[in-house]
Amino acid sequence: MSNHSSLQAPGSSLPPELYGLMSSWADAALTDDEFVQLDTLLKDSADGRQAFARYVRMCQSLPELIVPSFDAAIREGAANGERTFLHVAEPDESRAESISPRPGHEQRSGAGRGESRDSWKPRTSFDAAGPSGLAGTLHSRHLLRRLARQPWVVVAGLLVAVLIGVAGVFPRGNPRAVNPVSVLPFTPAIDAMAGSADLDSHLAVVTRSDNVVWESGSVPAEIGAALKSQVLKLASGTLEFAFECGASLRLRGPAEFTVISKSRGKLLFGELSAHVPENAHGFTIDTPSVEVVDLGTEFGVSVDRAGISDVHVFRGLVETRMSSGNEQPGVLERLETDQTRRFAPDQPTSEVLKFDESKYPAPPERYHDEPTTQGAICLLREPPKSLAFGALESNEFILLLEERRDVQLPRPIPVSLSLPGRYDRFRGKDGKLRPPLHVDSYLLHFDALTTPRNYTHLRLDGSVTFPRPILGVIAVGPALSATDGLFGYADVIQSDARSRGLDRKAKGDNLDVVTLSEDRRTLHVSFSVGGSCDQLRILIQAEQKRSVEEQ
Amino acid sequence: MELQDRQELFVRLFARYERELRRYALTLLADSVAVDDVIQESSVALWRKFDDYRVEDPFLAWACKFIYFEALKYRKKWQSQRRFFSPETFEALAREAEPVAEQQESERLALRDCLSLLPVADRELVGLRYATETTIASLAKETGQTAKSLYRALERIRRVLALCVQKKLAAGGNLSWEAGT
Repeated sequence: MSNHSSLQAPGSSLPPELYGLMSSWADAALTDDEFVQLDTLLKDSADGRQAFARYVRMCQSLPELIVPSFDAAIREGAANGERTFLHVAEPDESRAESISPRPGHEQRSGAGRGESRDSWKPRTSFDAAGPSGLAGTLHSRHLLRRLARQPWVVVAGLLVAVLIGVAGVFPRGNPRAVNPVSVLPFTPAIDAMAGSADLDSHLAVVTRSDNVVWESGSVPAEIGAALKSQVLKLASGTLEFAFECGASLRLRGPAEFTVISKSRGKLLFGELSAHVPENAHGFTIDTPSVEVVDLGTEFGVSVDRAGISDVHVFRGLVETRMSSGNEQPGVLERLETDQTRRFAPDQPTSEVLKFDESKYPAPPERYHDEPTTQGAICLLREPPKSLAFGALESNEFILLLEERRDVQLPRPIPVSLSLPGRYDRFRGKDGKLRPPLHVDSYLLHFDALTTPRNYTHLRLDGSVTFPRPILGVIAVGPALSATDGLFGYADVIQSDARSRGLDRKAKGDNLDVVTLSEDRRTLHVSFSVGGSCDQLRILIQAEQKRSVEEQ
Repeated sequence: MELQDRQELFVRLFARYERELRRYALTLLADSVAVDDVIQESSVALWRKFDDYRVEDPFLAWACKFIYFEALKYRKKWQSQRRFFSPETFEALAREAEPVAEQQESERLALRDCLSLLPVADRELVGLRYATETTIASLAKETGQTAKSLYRALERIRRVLALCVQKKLAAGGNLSWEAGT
């Protein structure tokens, strides 16, 4: 479900709140006010009316279509070791005993993440023989109830029985590998490095996009889109993306780059520059002729169509290993600041070159005043097009984006928390920031792509440290929506109020925890995956002296 | 045509298209209780006027006019007690949402494919919601999830399905996701 542009495309002309309203309608949960809102949207939008009519037809078709696939799906998933929705409710199960490793999923390291990720493993609720426990009870009870009332389901039930009987002959491909939102062609990164590739997880996030034109056949990746192991083909423009390990790349088209793992990529041709922080040492760029291993640096790599690679170290140290073309290890060489080498596929040694600045895009730079992030939080360098629920999904990243700066509060702004401490309950009004305070606004956004079943198990942690004190945090949906106009960018599509913010009264595994440090500069978040996107709007003291004095 | 033949034809046609007519009525009225009444009244009216129906004409389009008028009558009758779309929205939906049998069949097939591509856990939740008619409240109680979370999960899944169907239809139903992530 990683192709976010593909998710947005069909509904891009639709009012962003339409799906939320239609869903409430489908669940008979639409309030009178929301009904009026839906009516207004439909009155004003022909696309909206079409979408509504299709939605109605879809909801009406679901009962007919889901019954035959229901049992088969559960059994198929169970047979494949897939997590199922009802499994979580089995109360006396020992989590530790039932956890099995996730195939191909690497254990994470890094601040605040390793422990949480431990629990992100598939489990099954049904054995191959059939449903059991609460899942089976629920399923049987409700299906029988419906069977008693709906004659047509008898036919479907018979079909279910037939399907159950022949379940053994169904193909057992892993449904996890396909996802309904990933509808554009996806090119997995399969090359010599495929053995180390993590094909299942998001490995990097697009943080900036400058006039990027994508090659046909390449998956367009918008700002904020999470990247899996995949090939990026740029016809022109510059794309900046941050790997999970912390390394940032700026890729200038025309270029072809393969994301291989959370700390490795391959430049087939084109030009890039890399900024690799200390904690990401070992980050590696492969080219057809050389392997460049970072030892703490900023460096540039350019590769032409013949595979000839130039490497320049802007700052720090890199280790290069030439591709020998056979099974023997290539020649190792260390390059220091301002050293440039050329590596050709068929040459045994490198060639010293004069530095040509034009060969490389400028390395990704840190902004003045930029917050520092740790753990799963990734700072976007530009705002994305949409923050609507489902637009930017990832199980690996919490996105942080800068919103408007130096906003003078025009009125008292209610916040959910403003004092140091640990919070796991969130209210809309725990205090107010009052005019004439000036603030800079940031938004944390976590929209997991996991299924409902998963959110009691998947938790992402991270922290962000700001250069000035945090004055208040807005954590609940209505308050977030009420302040979009004041703090958010006007051209960013926002989620509707019901699909954002933190759960006010979550329990147990679903608990979202926010901790504000004593010096009020660091916010640590621990987000549990939920059925909506977790968002926080963080208001920090603006840079102007005036606001400091007003404090 | 003999009366018995006409009866048989009517029953066959109505049974064939009842699903589409029900969806059309639901689109106009957004109220399943109202739909039951409107379908019932429409079926009577359709049979009364069935002599006017020419077999070479599309039954669905002909029957939709009855749905429209019965829905109008229903709105008028229950205006003060039930909530309905505004007249403008109602008219626009009536005009634009009239079903086309072939299109609806394509949508059904696309939806079937999209359902099969859902992760198992999502399919389970959809199954519980639609195949077993478990209410959100009871599902929340029995699974220990919050109702809010379940509402949101269903919202998300339905949105994914809706976009999936739309994309599949736009791609002529040939879109392959096998290489997707």
